[in-house]
Amino acid sequence: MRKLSLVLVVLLVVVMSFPEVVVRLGGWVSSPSETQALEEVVKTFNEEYAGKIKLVYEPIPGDYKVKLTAMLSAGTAPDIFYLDTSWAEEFFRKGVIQPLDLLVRKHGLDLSDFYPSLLDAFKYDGRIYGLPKDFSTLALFYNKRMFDEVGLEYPNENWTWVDLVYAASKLTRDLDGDGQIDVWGLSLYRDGAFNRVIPFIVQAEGKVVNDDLTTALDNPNSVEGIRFYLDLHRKYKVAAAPQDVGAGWLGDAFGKEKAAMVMSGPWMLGFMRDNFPNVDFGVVELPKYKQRATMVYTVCYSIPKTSEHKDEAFIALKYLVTKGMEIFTEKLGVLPSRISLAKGLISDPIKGPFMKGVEYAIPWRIPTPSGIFSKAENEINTRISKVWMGEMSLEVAIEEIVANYDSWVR
Amino acid sequence: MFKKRKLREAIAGYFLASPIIVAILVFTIIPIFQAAYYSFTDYDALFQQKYRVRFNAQEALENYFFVSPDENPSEEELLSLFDPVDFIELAVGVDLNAEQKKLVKREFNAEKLIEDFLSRRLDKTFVFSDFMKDYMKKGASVFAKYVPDFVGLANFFEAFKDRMFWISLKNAAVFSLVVTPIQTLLAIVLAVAANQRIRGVKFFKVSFFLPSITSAAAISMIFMLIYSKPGLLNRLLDYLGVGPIDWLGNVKTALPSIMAMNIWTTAGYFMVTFLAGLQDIPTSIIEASMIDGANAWVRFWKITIPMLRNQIIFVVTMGIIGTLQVFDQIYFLIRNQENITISMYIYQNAFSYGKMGYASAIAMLLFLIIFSVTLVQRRVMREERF
Repeated sequence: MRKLSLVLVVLLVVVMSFPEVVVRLGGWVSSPSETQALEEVVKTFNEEYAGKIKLVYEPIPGDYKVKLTAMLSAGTAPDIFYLDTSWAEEFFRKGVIQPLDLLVRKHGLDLSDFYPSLLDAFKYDGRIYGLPKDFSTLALFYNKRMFDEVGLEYPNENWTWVDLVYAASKLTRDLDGDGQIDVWGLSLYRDGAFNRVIPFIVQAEGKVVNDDLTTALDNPNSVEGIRFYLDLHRKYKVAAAPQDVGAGWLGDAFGKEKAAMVMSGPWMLGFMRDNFPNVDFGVVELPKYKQRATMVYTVCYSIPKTSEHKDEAFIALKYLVTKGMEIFTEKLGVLPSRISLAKGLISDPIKGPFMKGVEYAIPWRIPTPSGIFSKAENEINTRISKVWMGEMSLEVAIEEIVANYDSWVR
Repeated sequence: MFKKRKLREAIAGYFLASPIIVAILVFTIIPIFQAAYYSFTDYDALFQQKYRVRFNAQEALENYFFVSPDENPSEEELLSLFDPVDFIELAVGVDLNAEQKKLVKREFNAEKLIEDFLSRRLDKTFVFSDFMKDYMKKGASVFAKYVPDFVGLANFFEAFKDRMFWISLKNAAVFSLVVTPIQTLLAIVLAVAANQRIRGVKFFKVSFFLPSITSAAAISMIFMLIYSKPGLLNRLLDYLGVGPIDWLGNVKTALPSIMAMNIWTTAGYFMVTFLAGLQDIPTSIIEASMIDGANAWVRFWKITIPMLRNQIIFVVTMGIIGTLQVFDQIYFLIRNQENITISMYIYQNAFSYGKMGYASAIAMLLFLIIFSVTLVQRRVMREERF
């Protein structure tokens, strides 16, 4: 008995003299396989840093941004958490996120190995506020069987808008002769579509905002891009929204073979493998027009300014974007944000097009005077839906956007 | 003696009720007053921890001066280089307003900080508000807690000028005006049906009540499928030769679709109230009317409805309050900004547009609207005692 208590005391002293710093990692839950991979990264980290740092993964389910805001305001936010490019700047501006420049210098991390466009997505006011976890770009998915049926050649990376419309019109067919279209050349989003319209705007050499942060959607080139997107449905009648063909989203419409082509991201790959393994498809870069363009969606790891263990949190963060990213790339097939890890993927027939896209992609982040774009996004999306359904003309929509834009982003 | 016992009883009573009293106080009463206060401010939840920023003062100073105490810099030189406002804003990372800047310039004890820096007493994590307590000669209390700026009635004036406020308010009003009468009438009809002495009446009672205890998310998913373009409703309409309609996507049909769904889910709930009321109607009245030759139709309008007066008042009141606040079904099913209701707009402002003060102001306006509507309604439809 005495021996046992002695052992316990010794153990206690040992434990107390090497206090383990607990670092909490929070993020949204996207899929069971991602949670699994993340848990593995956490495990290997804890083995390597046993006795010094303990990384604890705390998934945040539900409405992530709302919950994170509540946690930040209550002071209970994790020490590392995800931020999405589309709204990260709101948090940077409010002064709740720790700039990482000094920590990067102190703990040594080679930032030149990250894709510059991805790093830029998390810079604000000259400082870097987050390191990119991974990324997704948009590319063109096509159904090989449907192309074979109409005797068309598969799309290639030199496709232009003209090729897209031509192929889509051949692929839009009424199979049973009842006067109703059964399969469509394309499926495009009707609601919440603005971020999918942006590549078209930029392909037409238009832009979303001017240098002074006013809207540039009335720029003739921008209008040309928006018009083309909408005309695929309105004028050429070769595109249907997912809900018009009984699908929940683009991937669903493509998997059910209701549409021969969709423009979507690498998140489709796992979905197709799990749900529609028999659909034979290929992937190429988005068609170009006056220039190439695609969107890049990315997520970063950030540290709150109120964190009690910023150094330890950064050590864990560094691990997540180095060793952790290797595990993610291998297990999940995500696109790594570091150039050294991406080398082999450029020539991959499926992942290559996404990887090439990052060179010229536009981050999904619209700068505004207040840092908040969500209100303008809701308003613009509403008008795109209305024009799509023929309830409003594009000219009126653009007029309204220009007239009210300032009040939405103030 | 008697008094003492009464007091003891009161203490015991409040003690036993304390869990619910505390819960209501913390989660309802205090938030209501806070929201009322925030509606006059530019409150932003993300600033709540503004002065709880943690930093290592030694590192922050080393990075600020680009020098470490090991290099034996002179105190005078460091003092001449030191600007407390710059230090706080750039090295610590807390933004100050004009007044705070003036205060810091005047009251910051730079000598003490530099001394501690040179004798290496700063190599630990500081919380900004505590740091200011240590190094401000006066006025550190300004940095103890985030206090939002008072903006007076600006939030309310903004609401009156905001197009979306009026659209969402109009949508909620239309929703309420259409849904409340129909759901009340339907609930009475369901109650009368469920009150019949026929076989299997329990099955009908359960099926009428089921929608109101099913989660809004589940119901919304089902209705999303029913209303979708290739969905059930359009397939039925196809037999009638009506072309497929995108019920939820179309700006004109989205809100009516949600109204129909809302009526379906709430009618069963209010049916229970009417069922209780129906059981209170004395059979003698019904029998007397039957002897007088009243048929079922006449009995329904002349006896059932008037006898349910109190329940109708209750259901209409609850219905108006509920429909003006409708949120979950809108949140799940409405994708179009033109069709949102006011509580959805409050939510958007509070949580996605970062305008908590403005959201609180609209919430206060909604409270005032519901309050006055209920007041007027109580005047018009006075409860009767038998």
